[in-house]
Formats: sequence, structure tokens, C-alpha cells
Amino acid sequence: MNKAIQKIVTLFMALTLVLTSLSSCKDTSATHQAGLLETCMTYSDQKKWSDAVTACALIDTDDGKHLTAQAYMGLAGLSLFDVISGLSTVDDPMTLILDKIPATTGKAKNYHNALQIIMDDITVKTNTMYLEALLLSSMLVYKELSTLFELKVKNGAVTNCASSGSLEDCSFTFTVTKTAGYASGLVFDGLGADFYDAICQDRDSAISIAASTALTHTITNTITSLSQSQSVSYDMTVDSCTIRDGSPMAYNKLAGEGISGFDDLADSLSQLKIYDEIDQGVNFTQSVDDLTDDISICNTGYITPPVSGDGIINDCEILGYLNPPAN
Amino acid sequence: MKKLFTLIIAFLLASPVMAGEIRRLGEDYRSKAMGNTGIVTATSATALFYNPATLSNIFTWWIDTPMMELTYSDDSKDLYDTAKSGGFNLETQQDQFDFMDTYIGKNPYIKFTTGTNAVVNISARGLSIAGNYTYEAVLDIKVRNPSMPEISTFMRLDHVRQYGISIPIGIGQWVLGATYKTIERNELDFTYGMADALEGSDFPTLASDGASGIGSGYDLGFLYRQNSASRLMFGGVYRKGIELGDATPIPEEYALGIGMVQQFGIFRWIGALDFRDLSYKGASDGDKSINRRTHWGSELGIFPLSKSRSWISIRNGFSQGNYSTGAEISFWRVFVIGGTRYIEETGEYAGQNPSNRTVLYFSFGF
Repeated sequence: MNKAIQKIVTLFMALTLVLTSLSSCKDTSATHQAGLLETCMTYSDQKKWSDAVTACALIDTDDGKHLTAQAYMGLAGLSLFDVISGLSTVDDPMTLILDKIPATTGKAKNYHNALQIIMDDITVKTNTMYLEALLLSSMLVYKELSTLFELKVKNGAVTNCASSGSLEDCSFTFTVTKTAGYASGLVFDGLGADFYDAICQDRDSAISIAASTALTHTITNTITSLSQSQSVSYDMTVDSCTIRDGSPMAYNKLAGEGISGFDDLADSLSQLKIYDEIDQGVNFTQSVDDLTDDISICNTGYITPPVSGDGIINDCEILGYLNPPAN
Repeated sequence: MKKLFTLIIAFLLASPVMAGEIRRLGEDYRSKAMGNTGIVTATSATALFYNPATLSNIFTWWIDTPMMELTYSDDSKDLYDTAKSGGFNLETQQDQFDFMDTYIGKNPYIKFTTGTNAVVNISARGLSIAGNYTYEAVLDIKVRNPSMPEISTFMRLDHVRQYGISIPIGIGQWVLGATYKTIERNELDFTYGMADALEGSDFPTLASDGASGIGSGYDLGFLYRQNSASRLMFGGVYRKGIELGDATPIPEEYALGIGMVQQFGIFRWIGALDFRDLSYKGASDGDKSINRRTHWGSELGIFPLSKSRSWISIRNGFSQGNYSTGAEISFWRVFVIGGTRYIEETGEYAGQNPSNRTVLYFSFGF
């Protein structure tokens, strides 16, 4: 009896040792929810973002989705820790924000993926999630603004192509046509549909309003310095968009409405609420050398001036944001 | 050492894991070196924690006082360096950001165990009694998620008082054992994230956010010892779950083990294979990995001093798929010094998230 037990136990020990040695006693993957979460977190800790995206996507909880979103941010090279700790300490948050805007289309796509998960997929959003969404959405908008307005940081200050007070250094400036020394026409081609496609995600239904009309202006002859009233023809194209759900602007609006607290970041938050900054109904006016009175691209009766908070953004409003009229 | 204590106290008073690691009381340097085995091969007061029936492996009497054991992870070196350079505090937002930045991805772990053990063998057939008082303090910090860092802190202070007996049946081939224990626990388990810091939330403290509780329970074990040259053994233990008020309860556990002892002149070899947490209550829900519950190891004793102790002992093992090793020099019971290097599984499956740790042990006794 004893020998039989001895043989069985010895055999069992030997068999177990061989089997465990062969398998190294290690598992190869997680089989339960906590294991999947740990896998996701471990990849994140190791900054293996691509693996983290795959692993975190398997977790169908708000925590898992949030980690997936953060993995997308990591994949885009965005460290929220750097951004947020920076925002809480720097005097000039814009410099930091511009430094973190996505440099490539691929990175912008990952920003947007993260944004989409936070705002659309997560059921219960925390304040932190709103902060993340605000950062991501504003950076996607700043990316387009930066391209369009040539935003640059010089000596710690942010400049743009209209910093001089006029648009003449911008790619979309007014063109004045003249007849016998007198201005006879104004041409403006608009900011372009690509800008609006990006911020409103209005790619298929971009609204373009063109107006050709003539208004009477007091014009000073640049040669003789004599003034006279003359009809000036307008050839203006104004691009616009209606903010669509799922666009950076829409997410920015929602995140701005949802966020609260973060008193230490108050200055930065106002700059991140880019929707609030832009959709203010500010109509752009521009002085043109030959014309005594300023001109507005959007004129009542021709092109509808912008309206605050209507969810529609057009060139007049964007230019008004860029170069607000003097009070 | 003094500064290390200061650091732990600083966490307790001034400021401050986690699922994954299966935490048990009384896991000592010898068992850890042998792959966290001991269900049939415990040969000291550790038997009270592993399987009280193995008190029958003891054939003499002694008292360890004091017994001291320090366990630390490789990452805790950074904490020690910080302590040496004057320590840190986590009071301001900037302090907290700096801490996260320094420790991101790291897992400083420190455990200090001290106490007194008394073991008395009454009959060579296996009748023994033992008692111990153990004080165990654990500080386990993980700073995770480089995107939005979180400081996960687990801190636990346990006072354990326990008494046990092993009772041979007949000639002692079968032995039954029982332990009765009272545990007083204070703990703090929290995650403090960057968002909390930004919102100015207070950093949790043991005093204001800790949980505590006291409870009693028992372990029942058995051991079968083969009456042969190889001295094959097998045994098992049932550990009753203990509710500890607001603090984390001790889960119910079943464990089985087999082992053998071989003697070759001045050498004695002990082999052990344990399957622990067979109740599947020590880990996360759904964790059924058998590798997570498999432990095996061996001990080579040189110049045996008694049936349960050698002058020099060399150990190795595998616990949850991770290798361990250790050594000990024993001057009878007067002075014992030992060290262990092992890898603790802090993830959710065997081999997922290893934490390299060291145990230093010494005890005086008679």
C-alpha cells in the first residue's frame, strides 16, 4: 500500500515538474476582464501604444474605453501629463498648445479617434475626460487655424499673418481692382473649403455663398487725392460650415459645456474653448486704402452676417476671431 | 533603515495595490525562495501561516525573538535614494506632479515583518504547539499610465496573534493541525490621479481615509508522511475566510501540497510542489489560471543541524511562473541570517507583470 502511494506521488511530482518546466509555468494571455485590463495598462505603462490600443479595445467598460482613448493619444505622441502639468504652470498657454498640435494627418486622425471614444463611446464622463476632449478638440482646430493663419511663436508671443492689423500678409487677402486710379472692384475668394471640412466635418455639404453686387463707396484717387462717390463692384466668396456632430468643433462645444472645476487651469481653459471664442457672431471689417469707409464682407442683404452661438461658422466670423475689430 | 521607516511613516501620516498580486500573511524568506511552497515542507513557525499540520516537521523547541524580515522591490531603491536625500512631500500640486514624473512605470514595494515565534515539540510522533506574534507593514506603490498618471497606493499594517497545534494520529503518519488566529488590520488602498491633483483633492491619509478591522479565524490542515527513506509527504489546508470590518477580508483558501526529503550524507534535499488558492478567491474574479496557483521549489541543506534545519541552506523554486532563489546560514537557533531573490507576480496571469524583489532576514533566538 505504502509503496503504491509512494509510486503514485513520485510519478505525479515528476509529471507535474516536467509539464510545468515545459510550459515555464507561465500563461500567454489574459482570460478574464481584470487580466485584459492589466494587459492594456501594462502596454500603456511601457508606452507600447499600438499594442495598448489593441489590448484596451477589448475591454468594454468606460475605464477600458478611456484607456483606449489615451492609447490613441500616446500613439499620436501626445503626453497629456506634459500638456496639463505645463498648462498649470506656464504663463503663456498658447505657446504650449501650439507646440502640441498634431503635426501630421496620421497624428490628427489618432487625436480624433481618441476624441470620438471619449465623447461618443464613454457612458459616464468625468471632468478629466472633458478636459482631455477639450484639449484634443481645440488642438485639432488650432491645427487648421495654424495652417491657415500661419500661427507662429516668436519670442514667447503668438503671431499670425494678420498681426500687423491687415490681411495683406495672408494668403487670403482682399484684392482691389482699379480703373484710372480709382478702386472699382473688391475681390475676396474665401478661406477655402478644406478648413471647414476639417473643423466642422462638413466635407460633403460645405456651404459656399458667392455674391456679386455693387455698393457705393467714397473713393479717394491715389494719384490726384480727389475724392468722389463711386460704385465699387464686389466679388466675394464666403465659405461657411454648419458644425456637424462628431466634428472637432462640436466636441469642443460639448466638452466646454461639460467641464467644471480645474480652477488652476482657468486661463488655459478659456483658450481651449475655441468654439466659444469663434462662434461669437463677430463680423469682420477691413479698411482698404482707397476706400474712406471700412468694408464688411458679410453685409445684411447680401451675405448674412454671423450670429453668435448659432452653430454656423463662416469666413466673416473666423476673420473676426483672427483680427477682431477695434472697439 | 531608519530613513526607510521615516519614509513609510511619512506616507502614513502626511500623505499616503492593487488587484493582481495575491497577498497572504506570513510568507517568509524560506518559502519565497522555494517558490512560495510550505504546505507540506514548512519547518518553522511559518507553519502557522501555511499548514499547522506541518508543525509536526519540528522535532525540538525554540524561540525567535526578535525575528525581522525586510522585503523590497528593485524599484524601491529610488524611494530609498529619495529618503536619503531628505525625503519628499506630496502636499502641493507641483510636488505631486514631480513624484508622478519620477516614479512613472515603477513599483516601489517595501514590506517589513517582525515578531516573536515560539515552537515546542512535545512528541516525536508529531505533537507540537506554537504561537507567534507578527507585525507586518506593507507599502506598495504603483505609478501608472504615463498619459494621465495615477499613484496607486496600497498600505497595510497587520497585527497577527496566532496559536497552533499539530496532532499525530497513531504513530504519526497522519497528522492533523489547527491554527487559531486574530488579525487586526489597518489599511489604505487608493488611486490618486493627476486629475485629483488638478482639482486640488486632498491626498488620502491612513488617518482620514484608512479602513480598519479586527477578526478571528482558523486554519485546519492535514499531513501524510510516508514511512520510507524518501519520506514522501502530502498535505492540505483549509483556511477559513476572516471578515475584518472595513478592511479587506482574508479570503477562504484551500491548498494542497506534496513533497519529499532525501538525505545524502552531509546533504539533505527537500522538494515541494504546492497548489494554492484552489478556492479561486485570492485573485480577481474569473482568474482560473492553474499556473497562477502552482508553486514548486527545493532546498539543499548542507551539514544538517537537526531534522528541520541545516547550517547552510540553498534554495530555489518557481512561483506563478517566476524563478526564485535564496540562501541561509544558521548558527543553530542563536542567529539565523537569510536572503532571497524572487519575482512576485503583480499582474493578472502568470508571467504578466513581474516585480523583482529581495528579502533579507535575520533572527536571534534560543
